[in-house]
Amino acid sequence: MTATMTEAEARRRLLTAAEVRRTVRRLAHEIIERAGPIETLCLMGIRTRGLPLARRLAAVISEMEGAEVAVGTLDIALYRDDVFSAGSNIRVGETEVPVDIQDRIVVLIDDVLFTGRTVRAALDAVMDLGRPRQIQLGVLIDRGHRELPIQADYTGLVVQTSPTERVVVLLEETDAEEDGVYVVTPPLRT
Amino acid sequence: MSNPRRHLLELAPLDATELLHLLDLAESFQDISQRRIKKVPALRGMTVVLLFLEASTRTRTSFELAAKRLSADTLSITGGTSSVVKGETLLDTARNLEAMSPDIIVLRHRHSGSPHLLSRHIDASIVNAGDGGHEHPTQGLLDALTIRQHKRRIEGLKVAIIGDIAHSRVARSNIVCLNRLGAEVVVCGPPTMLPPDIESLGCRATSDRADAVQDADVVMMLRIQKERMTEELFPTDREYAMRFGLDRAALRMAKPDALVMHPGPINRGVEISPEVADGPQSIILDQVANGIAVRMAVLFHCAGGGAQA
Amino acid sequence: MSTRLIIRGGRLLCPATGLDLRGNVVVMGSSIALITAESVAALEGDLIIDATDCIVCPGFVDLHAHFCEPGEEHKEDLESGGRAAVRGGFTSVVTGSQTTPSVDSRAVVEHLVRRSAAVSACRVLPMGALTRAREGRRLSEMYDLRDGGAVCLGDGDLSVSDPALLRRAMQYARSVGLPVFEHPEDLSLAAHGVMHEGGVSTRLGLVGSPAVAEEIVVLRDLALCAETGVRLHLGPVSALGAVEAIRRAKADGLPVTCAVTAAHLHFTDDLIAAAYGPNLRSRPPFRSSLHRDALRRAVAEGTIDAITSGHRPQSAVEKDVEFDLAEPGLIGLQTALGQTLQLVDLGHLTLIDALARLVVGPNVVLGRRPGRLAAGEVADLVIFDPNVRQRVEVDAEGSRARNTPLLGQVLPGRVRCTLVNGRRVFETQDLDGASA
Repeated sequence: MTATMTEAEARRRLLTAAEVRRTVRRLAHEIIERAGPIETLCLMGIRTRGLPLARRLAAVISEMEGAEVAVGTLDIALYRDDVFSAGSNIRVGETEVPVDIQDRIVVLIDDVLFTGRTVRAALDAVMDLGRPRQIQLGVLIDRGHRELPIQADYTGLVVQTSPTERVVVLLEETDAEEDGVYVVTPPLRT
Repeated sequence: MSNPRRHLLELAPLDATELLHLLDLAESFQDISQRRIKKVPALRGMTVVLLFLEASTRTRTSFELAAKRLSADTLSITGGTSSVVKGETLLDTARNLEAMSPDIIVLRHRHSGSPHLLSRHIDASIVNAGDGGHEHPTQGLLDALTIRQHKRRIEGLKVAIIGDIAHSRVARSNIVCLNRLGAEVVVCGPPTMLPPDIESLGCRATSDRADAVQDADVVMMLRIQKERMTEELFPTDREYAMRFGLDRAALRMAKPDALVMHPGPINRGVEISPEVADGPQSIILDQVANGIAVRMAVLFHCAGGGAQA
Repeated sequence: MSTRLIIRGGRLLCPATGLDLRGNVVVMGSSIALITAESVAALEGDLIIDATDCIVCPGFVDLHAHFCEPGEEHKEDLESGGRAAVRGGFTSVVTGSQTTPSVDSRAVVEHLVRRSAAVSACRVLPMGALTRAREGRRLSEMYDLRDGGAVCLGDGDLSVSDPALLRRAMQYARSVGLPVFEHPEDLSLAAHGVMHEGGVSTRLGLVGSPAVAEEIVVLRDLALCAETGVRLHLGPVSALGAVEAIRRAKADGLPVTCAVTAAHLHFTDDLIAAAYGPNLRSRPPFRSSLHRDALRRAVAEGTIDAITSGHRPQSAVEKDVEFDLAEPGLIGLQTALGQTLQLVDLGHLTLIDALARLVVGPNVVLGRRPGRLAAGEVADLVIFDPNVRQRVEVDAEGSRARNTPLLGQVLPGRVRCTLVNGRRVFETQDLDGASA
């Protein structure tokens, strides 16, 4: 749902491409350590940018452990609490899960953790797919301003933001641009 | 503050983009029916009234399942239980329902244009589930979806629709939908069942079965509805089956991989022979399965969900 | 001595005589006293109507209206129908025999004559039924109906389906001396159709009534007219084939006339496609532009003798329902002039021909001498401004019904004043006759 940045907006870089790569590797390590045996693991990327992040994490984990890790995608459009609010422009995508998540450990992956509402919707969506043993959450950025009692198990970077700012994650797979994370400040209104 | 109500009264005014949007939406709903928990919360807290003033178990149950899989509350009112039969008008009934604040009213009625009447007077989204001889939009959409799934496209396909075109709302929705998505549609039936100027909907008309079926990619047979005919449109079932029915010999004129469709319920041995209805080219049961996904998409769309096409 | 009424400064148009004069009309009592281009000095006690910018012509005569009394007074009655008529410029109205009970006995005709004289602003000319209870099985008492005041004989919105009975009815009616009115529609071919059969009915999935349902009755009736010699009136007509057959019959010298409603000269079946508007359900149905254009030509050339209102009131009970359950019909008395002037604006008709179809043609159909602008004539007059355009609105003072698709639309022409028998039965508020 990240809007592209406009010229008028001031942007501040939080992570460079190299830093994104290093952060992903660190998160992968933490997941291996704490999420139990790899054969019971399932990474679920929340559309849109959670998906490439989940794939990157899976690639790192497979490389280190020498075994494939299951990756699924979760479309939460139908679970959002603002699905019919005015001006919402939600596209319904497909949810794809390659394995039965019954009794697995599911790690939800998203780019930015903000109000927690997306994660709340994702939790409901996962529950409708089956009964996992445990659900964990991994995010690249935690920018605060939670509106629900939700926190991440794996966090790439915690940043202080003001509510009017936006955090923009750019990934090669989805944005055809060099990886990077930015804080965007809207122009002052005159 | 609220968005203007979205209705689905007919397919005729929709363009290809809008039709494809609904088909794509339906496709994204398909996997929900394959899950263990076949339910998403998208319409939670919404009320969908199924006002079926004409008997139709399959369309009503399909809509009901669709609404329930979207977590809507449903209320079913059928011809037998409604007071319309007791002299209350359609508008009276609908206004009584309106007092219960439904978000969507799904209407099946034997009078063409009745969904338009409701949309003029009632503050709820109106979904047409078949109005007289006019349209049956969700049937048109689910047929298009079924064809697309099997043929991976609709554009350029030859689709033959055979039967009582004059009295068929299924035919009308299919003609406008398939034509707009680029198919070549040929309708076929005895002249008494071909209404005047049917070509203006975007099809060719013929009374020669061979002409219609020749090299067709899809052959869609319509139900002969004797119960609805007020006058005699053909002499006997026997002659109809011989000249306009679909048996194995007739199907051989179509392309070898042609699909056989039928909106149901089937009169075996009249418009379609049992071996064709149950044969390998028949996708009649896929049509039923797709019905739920299409109706979920339509309800979701009319409730205001999904990107605007 | 009665008051003098002076209508000043109008364009005096008389389609019967061809008079077209800017001048003044003096009305004394119930008749026209003077037509003059000279100025008329007002005396004390004279009433003056300023008709500057207006046309003054003999009152319109409507051949096809329904006042619903007796039987359906919740839709309209002789009083409200009469109000609607004079507000539309009609001074005489033929009311159909399709009341409940039908106008098939002298008692009902006399009731209509008596009651309308008391409550109707316009003259009401009752149609007597051609067959008893309009059932098409037995002849009605036609002499008695005539003597009671019926001006024509017909089964209202029905044609007599049995040709043998119709033949006898025509033979009998001829000796009675009244014209036979037939509503040309074969009910078997019409097959409960609710609109014109064609591409639009196909698209809308509504049962169509084909043009041939009308044409076949016209052809049959013309054959019987030729044989019996009765004066035959067909209307309202709506189909191309019907007017072509009537044109040939007139050329052959048959005593046949026909009429069309003002609405049929405009509306086409594709209007129904917009929203299945039940006010567009009509009998005969609005057909395609092919038919509509043929009607326009036939009116211009005179094959069609009269333009009528086709006034058929319905209440919300009959119209706020599914299209095919809605009762057919629309009101037209207060919009017929506007729709006719629209044809003049569009160049299909000259103004004088338009007025001839409203004044002269209907009288010819009834076998009456048309009203004229001349001294000594009965003062049934209409004064209207052809240049004012006004929006069609629900008129609490006019028809009780509101079933017209024209609501909200703008039509040319505005009736300023209508006189029946020398009496001002309608006058717009802003044009009060000033006392001299």
